[in-house]
Amino acid sequence: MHRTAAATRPYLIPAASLVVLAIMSVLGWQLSSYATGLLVDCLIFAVLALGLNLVLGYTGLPSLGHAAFFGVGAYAAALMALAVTNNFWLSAAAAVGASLMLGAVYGYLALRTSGVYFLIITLALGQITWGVAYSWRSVTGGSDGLRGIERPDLGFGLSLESTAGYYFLALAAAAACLLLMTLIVRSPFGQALRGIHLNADRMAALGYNVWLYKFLAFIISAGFSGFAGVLFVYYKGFISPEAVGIAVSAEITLMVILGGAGTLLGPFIGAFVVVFLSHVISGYTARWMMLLGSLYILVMLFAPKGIMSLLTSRPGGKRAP
Amino acid sequence: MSALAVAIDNVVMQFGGLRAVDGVSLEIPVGERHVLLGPNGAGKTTLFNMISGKLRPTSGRVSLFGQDVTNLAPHRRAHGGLSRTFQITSLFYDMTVEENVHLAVRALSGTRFGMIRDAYAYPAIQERVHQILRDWRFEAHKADRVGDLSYGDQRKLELAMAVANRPRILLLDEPTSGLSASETDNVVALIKELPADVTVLVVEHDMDVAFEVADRFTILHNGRLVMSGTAAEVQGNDEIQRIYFGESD
Repeated sequence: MHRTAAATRPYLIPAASLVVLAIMSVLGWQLSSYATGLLVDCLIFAVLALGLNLVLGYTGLPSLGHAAFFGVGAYAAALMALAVTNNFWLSAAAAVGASLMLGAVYGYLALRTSGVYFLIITLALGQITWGVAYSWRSVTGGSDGLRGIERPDLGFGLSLESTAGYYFLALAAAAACLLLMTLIVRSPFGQALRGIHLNADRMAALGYNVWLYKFLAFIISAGFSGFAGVLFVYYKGFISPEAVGIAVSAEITLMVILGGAGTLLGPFIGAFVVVFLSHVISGYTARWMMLLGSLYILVMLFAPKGIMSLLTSRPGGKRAP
Repeated sequence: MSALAVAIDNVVMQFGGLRAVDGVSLEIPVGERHVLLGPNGAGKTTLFNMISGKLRPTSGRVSLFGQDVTNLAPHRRAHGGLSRTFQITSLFYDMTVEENVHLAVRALSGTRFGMIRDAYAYPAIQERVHQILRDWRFEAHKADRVGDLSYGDQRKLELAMAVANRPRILLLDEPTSGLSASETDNVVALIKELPADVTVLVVEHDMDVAFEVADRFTILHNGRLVMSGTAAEVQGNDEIQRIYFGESD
């Protein structure tokens, strides 16, 4: 459906995106440093959820281990920053490369299965990664994690020391990721992923190598998640095994489903809602995880297709069965 | 060099304790219109699935155009010119008609792994998609969700997609089941209008359709091949009459 809307008014979506980007840029100058920091968190998790959405939303692969790629990206960038260079681009390239490679290995293992078994294997692989981060003290710092990572050098004489400065990096990075994901999703490759999600047997009979598409989607998705890890570690200045665990994987799964799996903007909306709620509610109670669970149930009951579907469905637009 | 489009050599398909196909051998020359007959559970669809690659036989061999494809994945066979429909209509119900046809046309294109350019911005593919939409009178419905189409239109769309890339071998699994008389006539006309070098293998229960399109018949019963022959041979065979048309005589 979104295709036809885009076809009749081709400038609508890019124009709206520019307006949102402009508003968000102004916010960076106006908001308090706390609020700006919250927005940075939102943007980082939006990129992470965007990556997961490619497999979960578009391809229909329920990965519950995507924090592994986020973590590997973050640790790789941290190690680069601490031991090699403070150049953002080199660190990011190394970290994304590491995530892509891990994505290839995990994807190869997990794609031997499907459905609920796929979910369990990705969950197990995620926990293995967490275990490695926790116990490989000489490299990862164990439960202490890695600290003292300074804000990177972008190379254009731009300062990232202030929260506002970093906010602009995160905003530009998230916008670039969204643009790249938009291209991927609308490309022949992205259309094939949708087809595989809907009817893999038919795709195979038509001549599509279903396994290879899933494998590539998994790797690309891992790359996005790893890049989110880079943004995360340079922002926080530290990384610990907590960021690799199942809680993060579950949280980003909720973001994707809450916002609207298989939609471009869904992961952004989901990430903003979940991050905001977690910050606000954590101020009042320590039982945030319990509320997160309740939110999960409410979404499943009342908006199984996510917030995006509530926004885009037209009044009276009920389809015939 | 082989003039055979399909050669099946003693294939067996074992599902646990059930031998769905039990040592079937069959040769279909290029361009033949071949109808598979047999009661429910005779193994027709299982045989189809082994030819298309959805199932790998427990033993035996399948060759297409003289090449052993027994262990070749379905998509590789599609690239070799094989196309099929399913007994239960198999489409992308949550996509539009145009998107369905587009996926079919794209399937054998070298651009199917393209990741940057918009899928609908390839002129050659778009031209072919619109030609198919016109030929099959789907133009007015191209933006409709396929799940909202009538059953007959869904069946028609599946056929349109199956022949979109001009296959050399076409497998049709009960193409007329559930269709009205006039829709059935359209399917018969379509099969007859296919180029003469296209090999067609059809599972069909409607005898009128079967006798109208077939050069040759194969009858399966309980996973075994009972006989292969022309219309006259099939009609003249007492055992066939008994298995397929009932025990009455």
